[in-house]
Amino acid sequence: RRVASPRAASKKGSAASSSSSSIVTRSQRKRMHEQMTDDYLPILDLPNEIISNVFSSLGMKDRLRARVNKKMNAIELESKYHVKEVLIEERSERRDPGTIRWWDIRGQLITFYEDKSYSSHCIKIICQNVSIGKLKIELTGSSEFHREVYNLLKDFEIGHLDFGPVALQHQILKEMMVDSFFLDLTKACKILHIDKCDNVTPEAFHQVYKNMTDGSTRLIEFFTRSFAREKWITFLNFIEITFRRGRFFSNRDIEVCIRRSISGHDHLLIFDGSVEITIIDRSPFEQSGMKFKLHENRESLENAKNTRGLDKINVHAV
Amino acid sequence: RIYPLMRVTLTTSDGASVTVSRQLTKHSGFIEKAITDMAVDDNAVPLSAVAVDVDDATLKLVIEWLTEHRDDALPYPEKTDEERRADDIPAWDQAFVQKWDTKEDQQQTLYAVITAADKLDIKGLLDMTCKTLANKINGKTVEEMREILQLECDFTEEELAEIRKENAWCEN
Repeated sequence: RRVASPRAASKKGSAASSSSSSIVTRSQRKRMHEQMTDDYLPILDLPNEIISNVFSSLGMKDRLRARVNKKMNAIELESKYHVKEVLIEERSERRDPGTIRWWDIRGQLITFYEDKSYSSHCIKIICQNVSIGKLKIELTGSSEFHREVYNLLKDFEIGHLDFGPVALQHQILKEMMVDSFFLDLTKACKILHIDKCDNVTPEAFHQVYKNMTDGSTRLIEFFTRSFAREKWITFLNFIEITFRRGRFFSNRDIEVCIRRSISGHDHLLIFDGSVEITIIDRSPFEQSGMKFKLHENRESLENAKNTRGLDKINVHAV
Repeated sequence: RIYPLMRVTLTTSDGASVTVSRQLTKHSGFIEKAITDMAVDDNAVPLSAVAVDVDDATLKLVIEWLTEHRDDALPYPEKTDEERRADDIPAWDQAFVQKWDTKEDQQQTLYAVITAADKLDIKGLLDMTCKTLANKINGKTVEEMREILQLECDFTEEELAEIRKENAWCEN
């Protein structure tokens, strides 16, 4: 509670003000009382919804800092809020104040420095009441802290989760990105972008695909840039489509198109019901890319099918 | 349907009476409900008085804000799935609250207007004043926030240590 007056505060004799475990020192208290004036805003006299409204206009850092006492802490933890874009990054050096990055302007930054130690509780506190439009991860270390942070991602409510190339270069995430973790991530967000999925099996891709087609997941889009060619061929086999010597074989009601690229990396598009599968087919010695996109209405699906530059490919009966 | 010429007499908690256009009171959920509950003919001019639990000085500020915002769209847009910011207060509103900075009781004035906006259910004014309060603590250290809000730390040492760990990234 607000300190109504120095006299009232001393009479209260709360744990914080009178016991040896007091957090505010005598000199701090003296300074605080000296600075107190009759004109103050008794924030704790406001209804919790209004305090929550104040919290909702603060950035994530200020919001967490504003947990200055038990009641403020309790209200912060209970009030839901939305952040449009967040970057969780790791840096080896303090940022040059003159360097302005895209994220500084458009999104909120959670920065960890390599020379400091952190508790994953900071992420746990955030994820319990925030929803994030787009979350990008650029962690670089490989400690238990990093593992805990990655594991907490599945507890977030995220629109678009983006593991860019920086994150996937690091060993701990490569190790963690196996079927179970991958499937957990697909349940946490609507759009999932993972640059590399070396250890994810075609069975897991198939599971995600099934979840998207039967509507049992929030996921509407998944994209990976780099994984082995034989994996998407195996995945197609799971959905009864065979790709052999540049030709498609299936008895299912699908449409297949190709978008030729001057780079030689053709895009193969398979329309299966309301799901569009895009495969970036590179040479057998290069990594492929794959994207699943669930079209939420017929107009979106028809627009995708009628995109300029698509040539239809025959699908041969088995 | 709102009749632009229709006027409403508001009686304040300290006994004053203020008569205002219905064009202003339509932004107050509380006053509109009071009028509806009276089930009077909307053509009646003037309308019976509505008692508001707001003092005269605060009500004058509320009416000043309502006069500027009389043409704002209704219902007030609820943006639950958008990021809220404190740095998007319109210029007129910023100047409106900055006028209080010279007053000895600027904090209590802000508190009174927040409370009035809440009681009268004027969502636009409530949001704006909450953002103004948020701006007062934005970018401040924990100690500075405590001083501004005059709140004492009532955490145990263990709880405070936990919060410091959670906030470590905020204090880089």
